[in-house]
Amino acid sequence: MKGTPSTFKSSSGSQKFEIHGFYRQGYLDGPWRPFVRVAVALPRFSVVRQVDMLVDSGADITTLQPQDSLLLLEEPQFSQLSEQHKVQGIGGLTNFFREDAAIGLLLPDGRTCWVPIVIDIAEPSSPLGIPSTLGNDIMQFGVTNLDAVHRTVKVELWLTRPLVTPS
Amino acid sequence: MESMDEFTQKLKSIANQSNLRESAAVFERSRSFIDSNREELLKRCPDCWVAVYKEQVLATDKELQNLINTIRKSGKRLEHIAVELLTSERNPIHL
Repeated sequence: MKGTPSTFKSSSGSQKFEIHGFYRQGYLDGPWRPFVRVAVALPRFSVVRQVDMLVDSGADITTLQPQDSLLLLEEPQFSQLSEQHKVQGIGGLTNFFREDAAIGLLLPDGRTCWVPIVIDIAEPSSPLGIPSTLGNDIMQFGVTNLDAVHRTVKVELWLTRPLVTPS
Repeated sequence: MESMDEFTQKLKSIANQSNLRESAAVFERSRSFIDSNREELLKRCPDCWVAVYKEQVLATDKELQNLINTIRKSGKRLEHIAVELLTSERNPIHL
């Protein structure tokens, strides 16, 4: 399975969770991009699914693009999200909805470690085909290693009070 | 805005009911099929959205919303399905 995580305990009581990601081409003969596979839960709507997220160290917030959000939410549910706000990217301003969410790391023993965040959900009417992204709201908890030569990705998160659910 | 306790309880409930391990295994099959057959899929339907369930192409469409509607009508579990835009355009991403 891609994105195999593992976990360690430190003497300070915090736990280290590792996600091992992968590189993928966005198009034939295109550049290789770093990804991790995580679970995204939107508790208010009682939904969860796996999402491959592009590791974006320049982004403040983790985002969901329409190809993922439309499989989590039905279109009428977008009207129940927060008011749209504009987010500045290098490509310009984009409209997003903000929602309480959790990013889940599947552990080798079948349990899942969850990190609560506020996620930005792209307005779905004009999908661009770009991937959902993992931002610094997650990566701030640890160390991210991108090895483009060997095409390996490792995100280490040190969590003091992790929420871990059973398999 | 709900409290952190309510949020946590809902999250635990979702996690308990969702069978994430099984979903992850099926999603991996679906996703791998796209990665392994990208060139062939692109020839079949250039610049289309594609939806794959395990090793089966469920739908292709130029419009994502149409594709999503087809997926929902299929009765397949949504968390098992991989979706991607297959494009011949060599557009770099500027995030």
